[in-house]
Order: sequence, then structure tokens, then C-alpha cells
Amino acid sequence: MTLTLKNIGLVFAGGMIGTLLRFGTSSNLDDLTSLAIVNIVGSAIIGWLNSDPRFASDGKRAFWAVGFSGGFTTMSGVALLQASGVIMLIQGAQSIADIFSTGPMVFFGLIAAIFAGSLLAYWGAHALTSRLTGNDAVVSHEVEEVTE
Amino acid sequence: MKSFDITIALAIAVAGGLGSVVRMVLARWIGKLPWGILVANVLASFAMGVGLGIFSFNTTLAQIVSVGLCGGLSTFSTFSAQTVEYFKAKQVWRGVFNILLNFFAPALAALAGIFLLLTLLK
Repeated sequence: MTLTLKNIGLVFAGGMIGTLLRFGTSSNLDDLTSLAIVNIVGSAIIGWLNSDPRFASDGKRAFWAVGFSGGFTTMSGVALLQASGVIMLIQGAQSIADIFSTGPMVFFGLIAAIFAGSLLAYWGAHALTSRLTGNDAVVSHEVEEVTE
Repeated sequence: MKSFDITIALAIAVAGGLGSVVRMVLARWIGKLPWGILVANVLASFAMGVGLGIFSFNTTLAQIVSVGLCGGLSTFSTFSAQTVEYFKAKQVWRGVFNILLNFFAPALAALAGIFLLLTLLK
């Protein structure tokens, strides 16, 4: 994505809205549930955007793909939850709600499930939209392109 | 439903917008793997580990830094997109390494941030 003032502004605006929606989601749910929802839904959204011709322009990608879905999803929240789990494991305490009391294998398994669910959500949404729009290569399938 | 302060929500949103712009710049670094996105995720996780400790005296500041800035800087959706596209292009090892790196490196960075702060505060 070229760093024009317009694209930077669109990424900023999309990032604001995505962040606000993520904040709203996390305010009413526990960490694990809200992280699963934002990352799985956000990955499905970018899967849809990457194969819908209506979102192929530079400006729309800046706002929706980089800004909105990038800002809506989060890796740092997941990382912090993993780190908290490790610390609890070291201390032998059980204070990450009830999740951790089910055992560390289940806890880290659920985090791995967020990864698997998000990858599947991207793949599924991309495949479905490609089929519906009859267009499989709106965004070329190069990693450089899907970054945007 | 928790109370929703519009000023705090707006500050978190602005921080998220700023984080997203920094990520947009970093994301341009793609070599054999999408290093820019990994760096954004690692930086955000480290900053979240440090930031939540530093601003533990003030919930609002902690939220602006963690939910806003770090949440906006890091991303999961682009990671998903790039990883699946590697698999679709039959570049399986790149996909696998991208998953492993993004699963472990940000978590280790968050731990490093927490322990760095704890060490400095001792």
C-alpha cells in the first residue's frame, strides 16, 4: 500500500472504528471469548474483502482491510493472555477466571483454537465470496497483496 | 453492560487509529516471510506487557495504551490472510513458520515486557 496522505487518513479512520468495536466487544465479555470473536470475525471479514471486486480499490482496502479489520483484530491481546497463562503456570495459581482451572492443556488448546478458527474463517469466507462473485483473483494471491 | 464513557472510548479509538497507521508502514517489510506484521505484533505485545504495568495506577491510561495503541498496532486478520495464501500457493513451510512465529514470538515478547518491568521495579 502506497503511503499517500489519503491512504494514511483512511487507515487511521478505519483503525479507529475497528478499535472502538473491539473495545465494545471486550467490555462485555471475558478475554478468551472476546479475543476469539474479534479475531475469527475479523479474519472472515478480510477473507471476504480479499475476493470481493467492490473492495478492490486502494482506498477501500486502506479503510476496510488495513484499518478496520486490522484494528478490529488483535495479536497483542492474545499474546498477553498466553503470557498470563504462563505466569499462572509458574506460580501455580488459578486466577484467570475459570478457564485456567480446567488445566493448562485446555487453556493453551483454546488459544490454539483461536488461531485455527481464524485461519479457517479467512479460508471459508474467501472461498464463499469467490464463489458468490465468481471472482477468485480480485486481489492477486500474493502475500504482498493480501497485506494491504 | 458496563458504563461507556464516550471520552475514554474516543481516546482509545484515536490510539487505535495511530497504531494502525504505524502497522501500515511496518507491513511493507515482506521478505521470505511477512516480517513487518510479525514485528508489529511483537512490538505491540512487548509494549502491552510493559504498559499495563506502568499504567496500572490508572485504568483509563492502561486501556488507551493496551486496547488502543497496542491493539491497533497488532493484527490477526492480516496474519490469517497471509498464512492461508501461503498454503494456497503450496508454500507450506512458509505458512507453518508464519503460524509458529506468530504463536510464540508475541507471547514471549509480552512475557519479556512483564518481567522487564518487574525487574526494574525491584
